[in-house]
Amino acid sequence: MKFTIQRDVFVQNIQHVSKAISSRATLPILTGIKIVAFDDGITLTGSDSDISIEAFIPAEDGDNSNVDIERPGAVVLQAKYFADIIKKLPESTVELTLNDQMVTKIRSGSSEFNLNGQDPDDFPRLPEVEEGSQFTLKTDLLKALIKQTAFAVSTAETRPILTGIHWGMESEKLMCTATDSHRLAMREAGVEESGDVEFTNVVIPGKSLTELSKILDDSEETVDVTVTDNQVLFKATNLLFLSRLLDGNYPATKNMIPSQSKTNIQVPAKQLMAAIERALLLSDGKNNVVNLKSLNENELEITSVTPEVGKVTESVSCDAFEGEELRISFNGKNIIDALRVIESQDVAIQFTGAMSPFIMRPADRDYMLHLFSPVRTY
Amino acid sequence: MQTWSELSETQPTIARVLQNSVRRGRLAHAYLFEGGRGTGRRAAALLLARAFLCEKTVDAEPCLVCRECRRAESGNHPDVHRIQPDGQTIKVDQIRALKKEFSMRGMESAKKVYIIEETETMSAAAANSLLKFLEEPEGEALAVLITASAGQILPTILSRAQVMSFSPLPPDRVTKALVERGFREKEARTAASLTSDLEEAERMFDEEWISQGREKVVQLMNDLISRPQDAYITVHETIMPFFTDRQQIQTALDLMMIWYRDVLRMQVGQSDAVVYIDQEDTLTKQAFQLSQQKLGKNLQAVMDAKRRAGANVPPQLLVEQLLLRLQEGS
Amino acid sequence: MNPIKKLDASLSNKIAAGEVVERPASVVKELVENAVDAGSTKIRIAVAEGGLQSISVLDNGAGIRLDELEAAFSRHATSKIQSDRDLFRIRTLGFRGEALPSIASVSRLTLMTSPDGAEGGKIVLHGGEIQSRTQSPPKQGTEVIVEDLFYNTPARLKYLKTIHTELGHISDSINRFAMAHPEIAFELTHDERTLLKTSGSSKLLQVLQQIYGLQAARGMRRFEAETDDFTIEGYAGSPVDARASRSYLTFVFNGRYVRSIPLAKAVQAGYDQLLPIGKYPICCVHVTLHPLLMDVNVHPSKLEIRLSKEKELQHLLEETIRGVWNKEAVIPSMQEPFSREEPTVSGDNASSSREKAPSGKSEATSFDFFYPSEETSRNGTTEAVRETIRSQPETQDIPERRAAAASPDRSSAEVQEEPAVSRVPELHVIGQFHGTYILAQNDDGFFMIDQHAAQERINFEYFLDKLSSPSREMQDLLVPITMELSGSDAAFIDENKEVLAEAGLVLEHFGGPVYRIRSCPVWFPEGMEKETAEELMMELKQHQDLRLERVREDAAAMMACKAAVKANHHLQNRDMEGLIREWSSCRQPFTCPHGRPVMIHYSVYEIEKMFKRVMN
Repeated sequence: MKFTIQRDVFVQNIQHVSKAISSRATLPILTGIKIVAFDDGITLTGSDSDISIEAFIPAEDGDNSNVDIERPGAVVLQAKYFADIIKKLPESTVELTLNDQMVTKIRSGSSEFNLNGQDPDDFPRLPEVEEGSQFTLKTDLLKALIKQTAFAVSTAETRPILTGIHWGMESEKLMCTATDSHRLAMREAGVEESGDVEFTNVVIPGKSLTELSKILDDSEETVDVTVTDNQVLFKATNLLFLSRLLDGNYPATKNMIPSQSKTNIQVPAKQLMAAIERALLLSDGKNNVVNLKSLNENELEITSVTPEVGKVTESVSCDAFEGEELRISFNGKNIIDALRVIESQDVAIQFTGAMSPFIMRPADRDYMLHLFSPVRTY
Repeated sequence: MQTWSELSETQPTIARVLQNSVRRGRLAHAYLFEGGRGTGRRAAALLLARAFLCEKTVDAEPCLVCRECRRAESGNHPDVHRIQPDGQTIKVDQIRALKKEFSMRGMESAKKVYIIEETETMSAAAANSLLKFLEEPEGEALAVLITASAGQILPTILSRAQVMSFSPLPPDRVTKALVERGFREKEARTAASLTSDLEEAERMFDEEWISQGREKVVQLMNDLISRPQDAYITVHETIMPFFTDRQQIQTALDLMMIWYRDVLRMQVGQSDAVVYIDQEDTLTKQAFQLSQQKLGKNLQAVMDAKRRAGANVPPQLLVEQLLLRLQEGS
Repeated sequence: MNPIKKLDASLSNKIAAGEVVERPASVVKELVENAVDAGSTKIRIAVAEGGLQSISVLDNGAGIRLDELEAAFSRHATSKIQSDRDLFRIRTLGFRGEALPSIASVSRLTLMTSPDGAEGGKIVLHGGEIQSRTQSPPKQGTEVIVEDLFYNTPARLKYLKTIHTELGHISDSINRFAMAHPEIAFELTHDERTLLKTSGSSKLLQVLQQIYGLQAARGMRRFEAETDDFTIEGYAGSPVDARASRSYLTFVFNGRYVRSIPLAKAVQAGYDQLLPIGKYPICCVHVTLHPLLMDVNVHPSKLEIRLSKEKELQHLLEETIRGVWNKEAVIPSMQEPFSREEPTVSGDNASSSREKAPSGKSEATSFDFFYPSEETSRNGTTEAVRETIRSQPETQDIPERRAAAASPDRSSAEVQEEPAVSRVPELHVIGQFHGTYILAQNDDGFFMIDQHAAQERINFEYFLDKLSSPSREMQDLLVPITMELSGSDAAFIDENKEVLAEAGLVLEHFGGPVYRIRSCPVWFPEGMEKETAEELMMELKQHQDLRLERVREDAAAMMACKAAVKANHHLQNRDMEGLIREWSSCRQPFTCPHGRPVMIHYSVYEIEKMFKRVMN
C-alpha cells in the first residue's frame, strides 16, 4: 500500500471515524483505524463493536484530487497516535507506505514516522450493503424519527431490550417505537422508496441512533438504510454508519394502546407544558407526580403537592372537552418530554379512566402517538 | 493442543463427546470444564470455540488458519468474549459488560462464544445474573465456564451446564512433559508421582526443592535400614528443618510412601515402574531385607501418619512416632 | 472487708469448677482482681519473660490478716462470699476463693502482706506446700510474687505460646482493668520496661489515651444515658479509627470487664453506616446495674455474664451511640507523617510502645480527626482541635443525648430529623483530580472530596427520604417486569401479596415460577424496580414483617451506589459546585453509606508544615 493524500481531507475523515473508537476497546484490534486503499479511493473504519463508522475518500472529488494511490493495500493503525500525528504534520500532503511487516511509514515534508500496524484481516468484518435490501429516507425525516422516539427509551440496564428503539416496516410504512415502560412514544413514516423491504423486531440501541443523528450532515439529502441479521447500516454520501442490533423480543406494544376512550380533550400544547413545568417546580425533581382534574367543560386544574414544601394549583383552559369527568395523576416530566417533540399547536388527549394508560398526540397529525401510564394511590 | 485428536490423547472421553456434538451440530448452550491446572481445559475451550466458529472444518476439526480460527486465538474475534478474573475475582464491571454483550446480537454472525475462566471467583449475584442467559440464550451462543472444581460452582449454574470433568494427567504424561521442559528424569518422575497438575509439578523444581527433598528422604530411608541408630538424627537434622510446614510434611510422607511402593515393586519384579530410578541398588537391597508383611506394615504406618498430619498433631511428634513404627521388629 | 473463711462445701460446689490458671495472664488477672478487691489505689504489676519466670503484683490495699494467711491458701477460702445468697449479688471481682490456692499449687509463690502497716507476714509455698512462714517489713498492702509458673506441670508449660503472645494476654488483661478502674493507678512492667502506666485520676479518657494513643483518644466522644435499670457511660471512638477486630470494644459491668457479643453488635448498629464493613470501633462502655440483674458465674474465667433485660440494654446502648455520631462532623484530615509525637506511654520507657506499634512511624499518612467545636460551627467556620486530650466539656448536647436515650422507642428517622444546619464548611472548588476527586479550598485549608462517595451519600439520603415519605403513589408499568421465583419464594409471595401491595408493590402470578410486577411505588428508582422489589421481599422474608426502616436503609444504600456518578468521570466546575452544594445539606455528609470517608482535609498549618514553612 502506498498513497499520497491531502492532509486536511485526511484529518477531517479521521475525525469522523474516531467517533466510533472507544478508549476502552474490548478487542486489541479495535484500538485502531482500519485503512484500505483501493484504486479509486481510500476507506477509513473505526469501531467500538457497538457502532462502526466507515468513511470513504474518493481519489477524485469533482475537480479536486484528494488522493494519489500508487499501490492498493490495507493496514490497521493505532488510532490514538495516528490521529495526532496526521494532525500535526507540517505539509499539506501526507504519504503513507506500508512495508511487509505491517510497519507503516508516514511522511510529510521533512518528518517521517514509522508506525507498527496490525493485520487488517483481524478487523471485524462489517456487513455489506446488498442491492435490493435497502430503503431510502430523507435525512431530515430520519433525524425527526430519532428525536421523537429516542427520548423515551429506558436508561436501565436491567431490561436491555427497552434501551433500544423498535423499527418495523410494513407496506411502505416505517413504525418506530420506544418505551421505558412508564411512557411510550411511537412515530410512523411513509417510505416511498421502500424497495418492498419489510421487517419487524429490529431493535436499534437508542444511543446508536442519537449518535447517528449527531453525525449526519444536514446537507445530505437522503440516507440509505439496510437491515441485516445483526446490524443496521445507514449510508450517506461517502459515510457509512453501522450499529449492532439488540437481541431479544421487543414487547408487543400495539395492544397496550387503548382502543376506546372515556374522556377526550384538546388543549394548547404550550400552555399545558408551561402549566406542568410550574407544577413541577415544587417537586424538586423527586417524584414529579402531577394531578389533573376537569373543573368544567372548558377548564382543567393541574395540581402538585410536596408535603414539606407546599402545593401548586394551575388552571388550563381547554379547546375541546367531551366525555366523563376526569381525575388522574401522572408523571409530569414524561408529559413534558413528549410535548417537547410534538411540533403542533394543540394536542389531543384521550383518557380511559384514572386507572388506565392515556394517549396524547398532535391534534392535527396522526403519525405520532404518546402513551402514558398513570400514577395511582394505594 | 489444537485438534480433537490431540485432545483425545489426554482426555479421550471429552474429545469424543465434544467432537461428536460439533459434528452433529448438537452442542449444548453451556459447558462447564472442570479439572486441575495443566489438564487442558483452556486449550479445549479454544478448540471448541474454533470448531464452533470455523467455516472450513473437516470432520469437526477446525482449520486453524482461517480468519475465525486465527482471531479466536489472538483475542481479536469480535464475537468471542473471554472473561478472566481481574485480580483475585471477576469484577462487577466485567459482569456488567458481559450482560450488555448478552443483550446484543453478534457482530459478524449470529454465533457468539463466551469463555469464562476461574468461574468460581464470580460472586453469587454475578453468577445468578448469568442464569437466564445460560438457560435460554438468544441466537446461536456457546458458553464455556472453566473452573478447578465443580463443587465451588452454584448448583443453579451446574444444573444448566454440561459438566466435563478433565481427568488428571497420568504420571507418565506429566513425567514426559517435565522431561520435555528440560528437567531431569529421576526428579521428574518423583514430581509426577506427587501431583498430576503440570504447573504444580513445575513449581516443585523452583530452587531445586524437589531434588533436595528427594535426596533427604532417600537418605532417611537408607539410614532406617543401614544405620538405624542414626535415623533419629537424620530426622532432626535433615528432614524436619527442610519439610517445615504441614503441607511439606505431607509431601515428605508421600515420598516415603513412594519409596516403600518402589521396594514392593522390586520384590514383585516391576523394576521398570519404580519412581526412584536412580536408587535401584538400594531398593533391591531393601527388597531382600524387608518382608512383604513388614512392607505392608510400613506403608500402613506412613498412611496413618499422613492421616494424623491432617489432624492437629505436632509434626515432630508425628515423624518420631512414625520412625518408631518403621523400626519395629526389623 | 470480711475476714477470709472457708466456703461451706455446698456453696463451694455450687461454684462452677474449673482450672482458673491456664496461663500467666490468668495468674495476673486473679492477683490483680484480688488487689482491686482489697481496695487498693495503686497496683504495680511486674512480669519477667512473659510471666513464666516471675510475676509480681504489689498493691496498697487492705492486706490479709496475719492469722488468716494459711487459710488463704486452702481451696474455696474466700473473704468475699459468705453464703448462697451472696453468690447472686456479687459486687467484688474475685469471689470464688480459688485463685490463691490454684496459683500456689503450680508455682513457687511468695506472699507478703500487712493489713495495717504495723506488722507484716510472709509466707512461701512451693507447689502448694507451705515452705516457710516468717515476718516481713510492715508495708501496707500485699505483694504476691509467683515464680517458675507451671514448674511442676510440664504439660501446661508445653502448651504455652511464645513470650510475646503471653505478654500480649497479660497486657490486654491489665488494659481492661485500667479501663474498668480509672480510679486506680496501674503500672505494668515487663522485664523492667513500662508498658502501661495510668494515673488513677478517675479520668477514663486519660486511660484510653494511654492504651490506644493520643490520636484515637482525640477522636473519642463521651456518652452517657440511663434507664431505671441501667446507667451507661463511656467513650466511643471515631469511625475512622475503627479496627478490624471486636477486641477494641470493652464492656465494664459494675467494674468487671466482660465480653458480650450482643452488646458489641449494639455498638456497631449505633454507628449505622459510619463503619466500613468488617470494622469495629474502639469503644469503652461502663455499665452500672443492680447486681441481681447479672449472673457472673457462667464461665470459670468470669469473662462472660448472663444478663436480665439484655435487649433493653442493647437498645439503650445502640440509641445512645447513634445519638453521639448523628451530631458529629467526621472529617479525616491528613496528618503530616514525620513530625508529630507518637503517643507515648510514659517517661523514658516509651520505646516499648513504639516497638509494639511500629506502623505508626513508617506509614506515609495516617488519619486524624477534627471536630468543629460548638462555637466554631455556629459561626460557620471550623478549626482543627489541636490541644491534647481534654475531657469532654459537659455541653448542651448532653441533655439531648439523654433525651434520645431515655425514650429508646423513638425511631432513628426522628432522631435524624433534628434541625439540620450544614456541618460542611463552605468550600470553593479548585478542580478535579483523576476524574474522581473534587479539590476544594477555604480559609482553613485544602479539601478533597470523593465525588462518588458524595453522590452516594446524597442519593442515599434522597432515597431514604423517599422511602419514608408519606406519598402512597404507585406507577403502573406499561411493560410489566417479569421475575422468576423459586418455589418457596413463590409460596411466600402468594401468602404476602397483600402486605406487599400495602407497600405499593403489585405482583401477579404469570404461570410457572414467573411473576410479573404490574405496579411499583413511585419511589422505586427507574431501572432498579426488580432489585428493589427483591430487596423488599427479602426483608419481609428475613424479618417476618416489613420493618420499613431496614428496607429503607438497605434499599437506599443499594440504589445510592448504583445511581452514583462513577469514579473517573469528568465534571464541569458548575457540576462540581452543584454536587458539593447538594452534598453539604446532607444530614450525615461525612461518610458514604458504606462508611468510607467522603472528604479529607489538609489544614493550612499542616501544608505549611509539610513545606517546612513552620517548624513545629
